[in-house]
Amino acid sequence: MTANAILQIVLFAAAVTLTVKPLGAYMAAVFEGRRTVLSPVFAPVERLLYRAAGLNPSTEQHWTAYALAMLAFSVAGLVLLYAILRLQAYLPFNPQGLPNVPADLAFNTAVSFVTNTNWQSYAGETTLSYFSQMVGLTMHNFVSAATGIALAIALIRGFARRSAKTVGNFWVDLVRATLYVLLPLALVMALVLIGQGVPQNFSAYTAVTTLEGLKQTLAQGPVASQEAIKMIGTNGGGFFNANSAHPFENPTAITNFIELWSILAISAALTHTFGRMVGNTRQGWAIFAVMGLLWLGGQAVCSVAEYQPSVKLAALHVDQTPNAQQAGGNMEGKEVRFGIVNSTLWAVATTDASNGSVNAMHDSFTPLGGLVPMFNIELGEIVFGGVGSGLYGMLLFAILAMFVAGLMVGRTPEYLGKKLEAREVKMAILAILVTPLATLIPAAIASVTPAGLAGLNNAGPHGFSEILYAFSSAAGNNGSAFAGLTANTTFYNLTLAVAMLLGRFLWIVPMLAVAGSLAAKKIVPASEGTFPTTGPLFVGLLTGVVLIVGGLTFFPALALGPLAEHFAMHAGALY
Amino acid sequence: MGCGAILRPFVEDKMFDLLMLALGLGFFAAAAAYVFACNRL
Repeated sequence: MTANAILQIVLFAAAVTLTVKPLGAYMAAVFEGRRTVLSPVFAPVERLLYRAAGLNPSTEQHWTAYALAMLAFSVAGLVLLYAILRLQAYLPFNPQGLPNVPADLAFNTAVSFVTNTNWQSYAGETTLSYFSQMVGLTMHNFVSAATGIALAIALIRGFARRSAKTVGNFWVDLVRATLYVLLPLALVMALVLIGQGVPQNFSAYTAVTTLEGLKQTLAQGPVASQEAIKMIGTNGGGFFNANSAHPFENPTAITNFIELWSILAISAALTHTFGRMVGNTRQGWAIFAVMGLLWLGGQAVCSVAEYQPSVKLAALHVDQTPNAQQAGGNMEGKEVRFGIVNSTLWAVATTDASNGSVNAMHDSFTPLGGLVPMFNIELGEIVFGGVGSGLYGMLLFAILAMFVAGLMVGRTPEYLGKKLEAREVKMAILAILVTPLATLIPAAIASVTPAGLAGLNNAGPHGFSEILYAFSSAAGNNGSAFAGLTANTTFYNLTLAVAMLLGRFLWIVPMLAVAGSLAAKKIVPASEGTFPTTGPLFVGLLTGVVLIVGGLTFFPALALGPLAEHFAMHAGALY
Repeated sequence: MGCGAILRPFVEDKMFDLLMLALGLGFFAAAAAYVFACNRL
């Protein structure tokens, strides 16, 4: 690794850390219903929305009602988006005259955007009209992200409240997350992106003649507005097939840095929101420290792996030292504008968060470099994670960690003054088991059936990695692709859609059950025997539980894929 | 354009659309049942 690379990693970490406190404190104020700087603008809009919906914002819901409201909202969004995609040829803002989306692809895409996954089995510029992109996808980018934030707030209330029967009101949380958090951030970011050259128009594609005399079609459209929420809301679905490697989505070094920051900004800040709402900001910083440690470990392994010289070129005595003339290391599948470190920063951040956007092709990473993004997703998307979903996932792991600690010292486990009993631990386990089940079972089926194998472009362990990555990405609601797998087939469209649904909603339901159960409990005052959850011991324990419970489940599969490929590469075999 | 033309994709691919609808709605119905199951557990 170069000094320049280390400096860029430090700068990125500093930028994310610096915004944790102000953004986290702001979100705490929003969800506690306090007045904020944006209240004069959005409070009248909020009241109007409640009046139009006939909703009393002071009415709260039991966790079951909260869950059913979230499910009803999601299924309505699924049907609406499916209909938009199936009828796009008859809808406006379709200057290219693109046809209706086939049924299986429309279903996969609708599920993908409702679950905040944004897996894309299609190329946006050749498949979707501007209406589908804006009204269908961008709208879901907002509301699926807002749903994740709302759910995290419900769980935080579970910890913060005592002897309560309710966890909040889903509709109020959804409106506040959209209006006060996502909309202003997306608006500012979209304007910055436009200033940097990202297109925002409704024009038909432009046909140009290149300097070589060839004809080229330049796709464009309302890109900036989708790009902003795609990054901030940890959605990740690109306007173009090349995603953030495309110069119209990510034209400059400045946009690259801003987009990188925005991948983790809200998820990182929510740890501080958590600390504020439970009345002890050190609790939030402890969670942030665990996430930061896991991010740093992944970043170090991925960067070092990508800076390694090619084994084959080294055998030919080719100079691969990074210097002013060459990046050194592995540049295959990477944008020369961004180089190695900005590609690894993005790959690690996008898979730690359930963002899924890419500015380099993970399929072209070295085996160990490609293992890191896959492993990040398989941990359950809790290393910062998706907006909201990362925090509630990590808090379930914290419950499990405290249960383990309780077993070790023979005390009833407690966290934040709440006694953790059989019900909370059972629910946490039910949620945590979803990711491996929804990943490994369909990946195994795809690896042995003709329909699954038909999509492969590579043989051996690399081909297996492509399948494993696809189902990890779907079940983890990440949405990034390893590339190299032809996924727009009926088999993959349906199996990946089911994995996305399971990975999203079967996490959420037991998590909300935990929220409801905790809210009903009293808060026990800390005593001499209380396990401190703000110090390095807790940070170490939680990091260990995440790695062992979340990661070890996938070790056999990773051994068959990227690890086998790594050793094969050093033995001279490439796939 | 008449109503029939707009609905053409659903008519041409009726079985597939019905299958998708059944899969989506069926999943959410099962998820709702899971809510009550978790509440009793």
